[in-house]
Amino acid sequence: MKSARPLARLLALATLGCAVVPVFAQSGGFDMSPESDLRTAPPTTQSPSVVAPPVVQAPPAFSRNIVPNRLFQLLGEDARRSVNVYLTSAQAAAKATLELGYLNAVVVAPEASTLAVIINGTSVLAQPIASSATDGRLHAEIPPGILRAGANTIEFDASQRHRTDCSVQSTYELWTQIDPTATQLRFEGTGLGQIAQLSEIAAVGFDPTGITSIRFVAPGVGTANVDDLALNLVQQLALALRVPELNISFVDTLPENTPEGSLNVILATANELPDQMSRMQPQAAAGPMAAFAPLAVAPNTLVISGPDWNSVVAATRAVAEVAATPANPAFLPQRVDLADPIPRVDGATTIALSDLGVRTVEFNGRRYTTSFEFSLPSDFYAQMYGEAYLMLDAAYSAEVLPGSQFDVYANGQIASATPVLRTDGGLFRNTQIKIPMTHFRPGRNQIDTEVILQTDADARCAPGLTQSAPDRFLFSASTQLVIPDFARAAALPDLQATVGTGAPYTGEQPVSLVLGAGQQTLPAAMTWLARMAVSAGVAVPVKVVSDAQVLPSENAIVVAPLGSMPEGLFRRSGVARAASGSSDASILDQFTQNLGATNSNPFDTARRWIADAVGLAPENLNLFGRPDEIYLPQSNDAAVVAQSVQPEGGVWTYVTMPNDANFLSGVQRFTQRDNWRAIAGRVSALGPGDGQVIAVEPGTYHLVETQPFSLFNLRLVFANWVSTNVLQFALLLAGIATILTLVTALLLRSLGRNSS
Amino acid sequence: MSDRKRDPSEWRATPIQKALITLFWLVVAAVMLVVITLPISMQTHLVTALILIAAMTIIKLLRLEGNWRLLLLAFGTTIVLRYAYWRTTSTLPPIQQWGDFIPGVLLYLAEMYCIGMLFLSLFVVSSPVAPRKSRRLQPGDHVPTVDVFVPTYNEDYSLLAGTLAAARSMDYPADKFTVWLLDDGATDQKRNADDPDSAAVAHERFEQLNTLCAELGVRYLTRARNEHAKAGNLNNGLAHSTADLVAVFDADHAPARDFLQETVPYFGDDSRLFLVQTPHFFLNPDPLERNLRTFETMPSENEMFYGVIQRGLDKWNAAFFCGSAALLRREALESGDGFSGRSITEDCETAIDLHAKGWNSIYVDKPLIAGLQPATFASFIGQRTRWAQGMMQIMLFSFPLFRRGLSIPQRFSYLSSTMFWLFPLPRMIFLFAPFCYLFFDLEIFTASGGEFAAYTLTYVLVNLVMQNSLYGRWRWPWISELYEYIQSVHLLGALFSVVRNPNKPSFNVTAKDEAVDQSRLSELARPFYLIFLLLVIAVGFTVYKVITEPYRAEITMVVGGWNIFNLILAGCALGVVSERREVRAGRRVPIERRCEVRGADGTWIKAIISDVSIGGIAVRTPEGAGGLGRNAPTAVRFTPLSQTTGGELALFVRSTTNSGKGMTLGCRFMPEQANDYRLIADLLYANSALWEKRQRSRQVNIGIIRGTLQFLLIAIYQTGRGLGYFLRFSGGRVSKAETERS
Repeated sequence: MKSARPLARLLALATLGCAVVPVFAQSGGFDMSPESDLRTAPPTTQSPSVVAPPVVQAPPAFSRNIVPNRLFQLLGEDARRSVNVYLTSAQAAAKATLELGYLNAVVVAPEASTLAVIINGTSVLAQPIASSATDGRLHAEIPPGILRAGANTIEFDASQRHRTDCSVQSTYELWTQIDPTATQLRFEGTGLGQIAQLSEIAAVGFDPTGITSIRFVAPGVGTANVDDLALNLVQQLALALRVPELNISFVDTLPENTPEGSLNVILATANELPDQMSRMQPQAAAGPMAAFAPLAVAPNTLVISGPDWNSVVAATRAVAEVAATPANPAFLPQRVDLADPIPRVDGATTIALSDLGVRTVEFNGRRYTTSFEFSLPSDFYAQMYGEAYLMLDAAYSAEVLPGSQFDVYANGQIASATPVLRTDGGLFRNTQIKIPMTHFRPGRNQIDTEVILQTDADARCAPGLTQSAPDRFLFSASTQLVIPDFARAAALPDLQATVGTGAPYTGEQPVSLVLGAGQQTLPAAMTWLARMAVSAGVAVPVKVVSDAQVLPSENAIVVAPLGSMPEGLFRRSGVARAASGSSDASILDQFTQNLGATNSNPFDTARRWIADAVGLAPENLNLFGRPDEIYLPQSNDAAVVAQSVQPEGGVWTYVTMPNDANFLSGVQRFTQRDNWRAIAGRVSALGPGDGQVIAVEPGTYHLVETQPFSLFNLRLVFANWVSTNVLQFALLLAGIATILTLVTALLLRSLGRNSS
Repeated sequence: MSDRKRDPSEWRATPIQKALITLFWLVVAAVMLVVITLPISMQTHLVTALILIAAMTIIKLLRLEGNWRLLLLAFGTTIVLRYAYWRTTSTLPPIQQWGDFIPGVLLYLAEMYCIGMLFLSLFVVSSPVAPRKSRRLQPGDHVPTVDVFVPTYNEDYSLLAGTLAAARSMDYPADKFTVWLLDDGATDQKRNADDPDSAAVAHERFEQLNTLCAELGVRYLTRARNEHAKAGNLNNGLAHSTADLVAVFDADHAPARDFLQETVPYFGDDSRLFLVQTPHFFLNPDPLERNLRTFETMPSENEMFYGVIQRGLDKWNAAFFCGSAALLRREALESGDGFSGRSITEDCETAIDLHAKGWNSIYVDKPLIAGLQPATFASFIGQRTRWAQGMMQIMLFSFPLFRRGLSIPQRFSYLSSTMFWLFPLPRMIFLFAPFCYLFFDLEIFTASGGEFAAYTLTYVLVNLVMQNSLYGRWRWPWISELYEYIQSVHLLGALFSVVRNPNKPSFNVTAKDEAVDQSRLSELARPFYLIFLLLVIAVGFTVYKVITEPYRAEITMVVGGWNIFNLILAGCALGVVSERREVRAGRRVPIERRCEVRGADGTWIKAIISDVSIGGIAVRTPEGAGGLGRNAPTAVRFTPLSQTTGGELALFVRSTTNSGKGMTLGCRFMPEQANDYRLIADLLYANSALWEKRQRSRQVNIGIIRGTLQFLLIAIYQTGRGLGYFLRFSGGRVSKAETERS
């Protein structure tokens, strides 16, 4: 089977080429009307890609949301955030206007604060920030030629100064909040809301909360074939849409209207196509088809069809092609919410911050912040020993006093605070700022740097100073991030690696996926997988199997509420069902266990104290791994994700919930960006009222080799392992020292004069 | 001849076994290195270091010996190596900032030198040879002939008389040994000097010593020219004598009666043996001991060398010649060019040459001579300058590590012995390094306060524990640092001058019989006060910085603490250079010898000699003093231990102390004839067991905590005394009271 697969894939692509390539071939061309490419479809092909649409009256103007976050704030004195907006070629060519709604803190001084919007490097708007009372509305014509088909980077740049206060503390009170509902690109023209080509699918966009809805019409849903395909297809769609959050639903018939940020997907063989699509039937019957339906039929409806199921499967490859472009394996794929380049760092790396979207800035405030991101592999295993550093290129004016400070945060946690000792004017190149890798993680990592500048002028704070201070500090983008070679091995279970990079499920081989009973499990599984694919930048091929078919020696994903979870899988999950009728005391016991509290004895107390004194976790001073307790969910509506390593070797990830009624919404809550990044450990849970994800770290790790054997890597892996298991290291060292002593004693007896 | 006595139970490895064990050791050591150089986190290092230190403490507190001692050293070594790894990989300033980088690397090299020396020391003293059993020539043994050389340059008559008398009294068949006075103070060159005064002095010396030698039965020998200093003098002696063995005693080193008995038999055991070295035992304190008043309680400086290092070198057949108190084989000396004279430390150089020719040496850890050491700070520094320069010359002329003919352990041993004398460099670097930060804001050691605590403090602690475990009986905590510091200030320049011109240093004879007859500042004291002043200013800077720069108070306090350690050391050194008044050159050694003392009326009263020093004795008269009082001339008679004819020893009563019914008379020797010197020598030198007893009484390991506290107390007191002396005597003033008293 396995050997046949690549060949089959090639064949499928070959047949597919007929249907899809012409569509691609047109995408480079420039044409206002979506119909045009349909007309020019090569007549020689056996399977015409799309049927000719009728001409309909489209609204004269069309708006696109551009802010993919519910809350989009620009904080501090110098803030910069950028987003991507994907446009169709028609939208790019249309006359466009930027609408911007915002609100700012009352302490922001309008005469010294500016909000600027930069699109594809060109500033289109720069206005004083002066809307603390009511929502401000800004408006800017976008000069022609600035927007382009595909990705457009929109940068919001706020320079904010306090009205009166010169203290560092006051800079935390500076904010400007962009209103996602009022911030849009408005295009003039007709039919601009319609996506004509699969390659422009990312122009579907998102609603004002940053969510894209996909509504599937799949007549055969519930059968293994359709479920398999839906699970794989949705991941490709998410990648192609370049959005992090999806709302997935199955509908029987095409909905009446398609709001912005919605995509309909029809997944059916030619003869199963809904009636509205009857005109596309002949084309579908002729061969694999993946194309947008014409506007008249239903806006933004992707039809994936073919004469038989195999050709439907083949047709989805076209989506995969779009999802994979443009592919630069050195970087994570771009997303609507991640516009700056995010390089993949697989080993020793030196990157100039200018390559990460950071700019050289001259600054006259008191707290300068900048941030950048990079991605680490799933088997990053250097949290406990590793140290990266910044080679800082910066300049201070003579006014800046020693006592100024350079702080680095890794993924929101303080990583280092370095006093700036020399500021006596001039450029300081190559100052090393060490960053312990403690809070580095597999997948996307965010580094925030913050420079706090102390000056006498600020201490005196003459009136008007905040508005007119001379430049004090220069942060050069030639500053480099230096990451040393780090250990690579998988320490399982590790949900952080799974949600961040798809590990250990990525690869060619389909992963067994068990779906529980109920209507919600399939969309829940699709939501989960799509989210994982977007984080990983690659889809995880899955195959739905029954619980009896899952081999404990192989990796698997189980998506099922606890109630409908097959007993055999449930026993291996490490999660408990709330035993009905169990005494309060036993629940309390389990509750405290879940929180990691243990009965304290003097030994434990000592260990805790020592660990605390030297800055370690008490677990680092365990001689033996602690068995993991069964996890009891705190609430019936808490979504739980659990990972366990089976004794036979398989890594099983469970996405579950005690109560099956709210399963889908629970999983959707997990996939929200902040929650998703908080998933970690062996169990993570999120109740409906929980502010944040509760993550339970495993007591015992399984260290799995992921790289070809090399002594160099082994040494680093060992270094991290002993930095995690400190007592073991001390014992090992003492043991070797003892052996050395005995051999030395023997050596001393055999060499030189006998001394006894 | 291979009649080396072998203990049947003694296991000797075959060469293959040796190779296998060495290989196995290398494998285990390599594994150890791999684990040590893992780039683990600071926290892991800290916990590991604390656990190992706890284990070391237990081993120390339980006073476990043997392999336990090795285990303690292995644990310590582990932490030291981890420190070295961290220091090398994480703390050097970036090379682009050369202002930090250059002093940073200097400090780094100084630390690495110390770690390197620690490893050489560990190698040398890994298992010191246990003290050998006392021996005598047995009836029927071959009795080799011995020439006893006493080289002299400018030592005075009475000192020489004492030494020669002691040498002549040695327990050895009289026809088998000859004592030679090799006088370089009255060579033809000196007697015919242009300056008529010095020529006259030389003439007088020539006459006097000739007479003395004739009386004592000693051969007097001088030569035409003073060439090649002491080595030339000794070689001249070799050329004029013929005995199988050659004993060398410095003019101020008087041998005990049993010197030859204890050393000659070893030459019968091993025909390739060229040297039996014995320790130098001193009757007088060195300036540090005198000025800090530690002579009676604390082990002397050289006891660490003779008590453990020479024994360690002995293990590797690398015990070396120390210029005196040694017995050498003529055949070995003549196989080369006699005593080597290229460097100004002819003794060590000679030993290297002969070791390289395949000759063997042993060390007998029993004081068999008693002598004097430099009394004033200036002459002490003069002596150390010669040693340091000589060892540097040896390193420059023939670097021991690459010296052909030496075994590998011998190369390491000599490397250790010579490299030791580079200590002024790191010591001065450690002294001035904190200034880089405190005065100039340089960052020469990039580490956070936490890292400093986790790595550097544990390293310092482990170093203390290891030093104490290796040398605790012979060297109390921080005393090594003090000795190094007081020498470094003046030795640093001397080392540089050798490097500039390796052939320039000349042999200066160290004066040892000076008495400090009035309290004063040493003529070499000035730099110590300057350094102290700088350190005090740096303390002021520390306080200023902590207050004005609170954001880096942590690092300032760490560096400031280091500076304060330097200040304590420097304060203590002020006491060392503030010379206390002390008339008596040598200290009293308690003895119990029956005697008779002549009363005022000429009758002989039974009495006991209770102690003896170089200048005189104390006589206890249980039944009354027979009318003797202060300033009365008298005499004692007693039965000598050696075969010298008895006789009366003229005395002069200087003090009397009532003790119950009897009285103790403090008397000064009034030697007039050669026989008086024989009698004095008999009292002073006949019984070497006394010296050993005295040494043992001081050789107590007082532990790190007590040692540190005691050092602190001494330092505080000496800082005050040093500053007091500065106020009183700077500018060469000597207080009126002092003048009157002396």
